[in-house]
Amino acid sequence: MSGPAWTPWLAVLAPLAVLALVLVRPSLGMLRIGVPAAPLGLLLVGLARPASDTGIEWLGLGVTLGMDDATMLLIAPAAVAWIAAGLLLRWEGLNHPLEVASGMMLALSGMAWALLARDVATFYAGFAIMTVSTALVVVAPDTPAARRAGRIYIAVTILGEVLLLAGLWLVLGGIGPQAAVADVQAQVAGNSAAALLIAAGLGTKVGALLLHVWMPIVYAGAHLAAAVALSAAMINVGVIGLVRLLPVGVEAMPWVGTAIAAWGALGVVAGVALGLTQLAPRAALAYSSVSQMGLMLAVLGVVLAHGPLPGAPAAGVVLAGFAAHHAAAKGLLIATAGIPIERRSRWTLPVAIVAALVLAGVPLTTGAQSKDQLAALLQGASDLPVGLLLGVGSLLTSALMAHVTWLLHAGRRISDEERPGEHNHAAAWVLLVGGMLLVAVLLAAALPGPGPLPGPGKLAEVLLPILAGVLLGSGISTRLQRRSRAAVPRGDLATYAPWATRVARRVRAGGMRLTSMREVRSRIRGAGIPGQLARGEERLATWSVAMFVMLALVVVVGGITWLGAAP
Amino acid sequence: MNGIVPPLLVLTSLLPALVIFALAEEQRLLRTTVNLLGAATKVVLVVVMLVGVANGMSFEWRYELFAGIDLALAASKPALLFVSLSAFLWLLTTIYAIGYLEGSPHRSRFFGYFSLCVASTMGIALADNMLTFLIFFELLTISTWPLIVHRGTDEARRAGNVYLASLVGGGTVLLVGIVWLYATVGAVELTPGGAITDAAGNETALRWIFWLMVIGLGVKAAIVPLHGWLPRAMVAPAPVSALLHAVAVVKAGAYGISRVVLDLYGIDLAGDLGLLTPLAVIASVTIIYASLRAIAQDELKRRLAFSTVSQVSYIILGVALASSVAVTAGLVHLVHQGLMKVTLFYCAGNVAERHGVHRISEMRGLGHRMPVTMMAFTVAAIGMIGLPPTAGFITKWYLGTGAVAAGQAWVIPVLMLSTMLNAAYFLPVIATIWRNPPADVAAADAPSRPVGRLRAGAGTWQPQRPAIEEAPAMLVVPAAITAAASVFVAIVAASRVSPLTWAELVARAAVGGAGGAP
Repeated sequence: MSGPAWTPWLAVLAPLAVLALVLVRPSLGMLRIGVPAAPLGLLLVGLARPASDTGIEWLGLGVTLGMDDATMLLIAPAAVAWIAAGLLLRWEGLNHPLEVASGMMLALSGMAWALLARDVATFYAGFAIMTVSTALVVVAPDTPAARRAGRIYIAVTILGEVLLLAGLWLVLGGIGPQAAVADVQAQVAGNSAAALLIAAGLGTKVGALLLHVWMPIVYAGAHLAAAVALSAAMINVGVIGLVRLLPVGVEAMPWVGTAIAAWGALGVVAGVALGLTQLAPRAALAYSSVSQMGLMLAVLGVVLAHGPLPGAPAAGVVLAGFAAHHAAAKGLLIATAGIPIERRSRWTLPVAIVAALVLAGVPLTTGAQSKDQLAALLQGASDLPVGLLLGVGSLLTSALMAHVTWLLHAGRRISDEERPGEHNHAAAWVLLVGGMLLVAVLLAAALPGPGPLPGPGKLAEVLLPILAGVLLGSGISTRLQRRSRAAVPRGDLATYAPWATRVARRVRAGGMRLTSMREVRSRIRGAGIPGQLARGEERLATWSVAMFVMLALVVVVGGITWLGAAP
Repeated sequence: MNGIVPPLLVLTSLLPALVIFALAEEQRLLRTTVNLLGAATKVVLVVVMLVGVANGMSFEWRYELFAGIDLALAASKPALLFVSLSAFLWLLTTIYAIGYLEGSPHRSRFFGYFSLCVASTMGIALADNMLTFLIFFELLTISTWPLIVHRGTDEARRAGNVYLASLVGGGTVLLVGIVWLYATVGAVELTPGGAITDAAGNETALRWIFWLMVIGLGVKAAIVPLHGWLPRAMVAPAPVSALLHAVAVVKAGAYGISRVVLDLYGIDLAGDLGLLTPLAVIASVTIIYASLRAIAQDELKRRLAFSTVSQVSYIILGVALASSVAVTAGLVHLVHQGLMKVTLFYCAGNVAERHGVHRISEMRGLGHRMPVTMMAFTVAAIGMIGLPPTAGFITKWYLGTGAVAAGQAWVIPVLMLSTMLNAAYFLPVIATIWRNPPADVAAADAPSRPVGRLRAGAGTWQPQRPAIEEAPAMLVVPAAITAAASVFVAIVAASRVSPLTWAELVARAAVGGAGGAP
């Protein structure tokens, strides 16, 4: 099926229209209906699959929107997750409802721009709008915890944006500021620094190790709606950026690929290890994302190191398929973790267990299907003992999933703060189940299917690590749940953030004392480096020094250029 | 016939200045009419010139001062970039100033000098040779001084002293440079691609002259370490800050450096003489140093002042990088920085005027009390960081790309650091203003519930917020317009009417394909 080319505009503009309506005529009805309805445009694009691109030359830096095989797998499920997120918000109980609505709608629009962009500037703009405006939703509860989550989120986000931008600059220098996404891969192939910067920049979004610190804090600390939208939709913009901008399966970048693969592999192990220490299910699920996206990065790195893989399905589509599968199951689990125990139905836990098994890669599921595809990629691109590695991966994932399941079962929402303003769990939850099924349908159409049930020998090979993982995870989980606090603080390295804040505060405090002329004079003594800076500036501004500096500069700079140019 | 338009552009503020000086303090209506009439006429004239130049017409006026040297005003393409910005912002700033100074003393004096200031800016922008440039450049210095000391306080006088010391000094250095240049190569005209034709044999002199000029101009552009006057000048009333930071003064400096590089020396000659890389380094140092100083400021206008020091050097950096994309970025930032910074100063003025708040630490919760002002502030601050979809993003996108295209990838870490520092000194302000107001403020209005929570009372929307205490419309509307404009120019960046497209035209003519990206 291929729909009209203009449909992408509906996807990017619908959230902005809702935002305008909400801001102009704020009403409860508008929020209740408009916010969940805004992603319908995106859903339509995902289902209609416009065959040709559409563009407006004068808009931005020349915008072109369109779809490719990889985005096709991600768009409709992302839209479903956003509708669910919209339904999860109970506006009456919210602090700052307008800010939350603005953040949601801007983030949704940004995500749509980024997913559909065919030119680099639009992709970057969409990515940045999406990540930055999500901060509005993260900080909305306006509690000390939410503000901390917001600070860490925004710090990592800005870092990611700057890294990505730097990578893109290095590429665009050769092809101009209005380049198409399609022209980027060839440029990146010859520029390792650009490739690493882009990988690190997008790595902040997918939770690559070290850049993941925001993920557990935000998934567990923000509104459930934000956690669902982030874990089930926005994370995949990072994935799509990686497969589009890096020449995965197109050109070989041996050492960059190997570095990314190693980075990903570390993430697989560290994600599970840290996840197993958590007592809040949403934090544990965030670490599971770190681990799963580590797997994605590892495979991406191996393929990038190897180069083109003739005969195999396009690496980008396989990786996007894996990401779609992961996000759908993860979104459902996060939503489940957010349902208060007294409001669960008898279906809640069994279906969550199914989702956990899907993530663990049980046969006949999208998990098995996408992991088989990853294995095929690895086998084609490397001499690694793929079976063994995936077995270990399965064991680790299963262990963490078992731990999560026990946490959900126990229903102790340890250190997940109670949040009013969450609502309509049932409708959202059913939608997210639908999202998982939708992913299964899309993957079945796009990639070779999971195949029939394997024979007993193969089945044992698949199931044994899962079983072992479940036992291991359950063992750890039961021991851990006797504790009252997580063994590793949520956000691990982010615990050290206050240290950075203190340094920043000292710099600021030093300077703040020197704010007006009189104060500068009275406090100038002993104010450390900032004081000396201010004192220096004070002197600079006197009549004689000002003129002296001016002339001295002429002499110095003139002298340098003269000497530098002298033969 | 066309020749009369450039001098008219100067006269549309020179004549109002004369009339206003002669008016009595209480002739408010007449003064306002003259002010606005002049400003509006100027905008119309600028539109006429823009359309004309776009269609290949030329607007040039010359008057022979003495043999060989004219007083020359011409609507060149870079001139129009600056002229349109100044004319547009002057109209808004005039409206703002009328609202801001409502009922305060010495308004005739203020508006007289205010108009004179803009007349000089028009002259600087349209100057077609360095002598004309210098005349208006000095006139600008002199006509701004009474505005800075307008309040007459000790602090204002001290700031005024520093201002005069720095800027008159700078003007003198510039004068020396111009005279020396005339004596050496006889060229002071400004023509696309450069006016100096016989550089051979004069390289050393030309290098010294270049630095004399850059430093003379750099005082106005607030290049570190010549920036000391700018943070002090923030004692002036808000409309004057807008004038200093966005419309006229620092812009005149940065614009002057661009013209010297592009149209006096020409990019090729400046590059051959080895002048551009040191200039880029100076700009980079300024960008980082001023951002570090900005973080340390709690007084809003001081933080904004250091931010100006940093942002104006983007213009210089872009021009010094010399690829066509980078020069585009530098020139377009002339407009972009103006729109964003003027918004920030309007908003700072509104906050001070309405609530007497001058410090960032006192701004908590103001977003809920002055939603329009603070929304404008937020948009402009986001633009300063360079986040999409704002004007600042377009600049940064082009600047980084242009740096790499010019083979100067060392600029990338500078831009990365600068972006993070910008975020570090603007995001906390945004976070502070949109937080809940402190309890004592909220208590007066909504004693029983958290602020910002909704109630569903029979389907109606009853946000529990503190009472809105927005500044008067004459102060709010200009801020809203410039904030919207700073997003608008980014949204239509690739269209024919955008500043970006215009800057690209100028840059292509100046760089002539040499070292430029496609």
